Amino acid sequence: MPTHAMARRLRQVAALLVLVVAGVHFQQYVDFMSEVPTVGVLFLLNAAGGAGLLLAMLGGDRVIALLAMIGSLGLAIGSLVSIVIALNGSFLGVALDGSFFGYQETTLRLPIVIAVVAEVLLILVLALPLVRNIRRG
Amino acid sequence: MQIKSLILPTLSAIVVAGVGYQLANHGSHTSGPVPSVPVTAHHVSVKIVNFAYAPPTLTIKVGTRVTWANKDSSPHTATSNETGFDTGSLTKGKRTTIQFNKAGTFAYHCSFHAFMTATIKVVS
Repeated sequence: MPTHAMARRLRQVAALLVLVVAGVHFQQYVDFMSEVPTVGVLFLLNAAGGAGLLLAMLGGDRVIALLAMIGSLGLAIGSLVSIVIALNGSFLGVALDGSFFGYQETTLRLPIVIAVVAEVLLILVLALPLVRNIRRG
Repeated sequence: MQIKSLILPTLSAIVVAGVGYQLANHGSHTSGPVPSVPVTAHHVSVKIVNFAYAPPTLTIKVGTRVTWANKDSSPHTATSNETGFDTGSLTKGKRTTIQFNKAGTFAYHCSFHAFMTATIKVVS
């Protein structure tokens, strides 16, 4: 497969994964997260930001798409770190107050598993072409 | 139509939908002092719903039994801020009863969700 076609395919896969991440966050916001102070707002911002990144990634402009890929990588990493903190109350050995803005997850619920899998895949899918893009300038 | 031109309207639509949802669910709430419920019964219930205790402030007599019932899908606890009582984890539909035999004011919280707080005043 030609390089540009592969890059486009990767972008489409990344966009799909962003859609899953943003979709899960929006579903959780509607389900109950809207009741949770601070974290609820972050869920809504995640969904809105994800939708914007998704569209930007699929847009024709190469620079905007590249920025959207970097943004999506940040979104995935941020979401992953947040859920680790909410589940463990700490991150990389740094003890926080036992929760994420006062919110603690007690179990690995299905939406969390779906989001975590999508975020990990998103990081893997984006990291490779991003590194290649940055090396190429 | 270019995808770029869809970005802003889509972001706006999601934020507006979220804010609209928030208003639809909470818009009718009135601000003001937190209601305090004086209770004379020997057994009262506190509902845990939408990440809050209802009622948030309860006044009871010594010897009254209080039952916490969790209506949320998330597990919650009712844990006194100082040494006192702890319902332990209450999953959806579960309830636990604790009897208050000592007068005093007991502030409590959910050990999973620190922003959930309430108070029980026990009078003799």
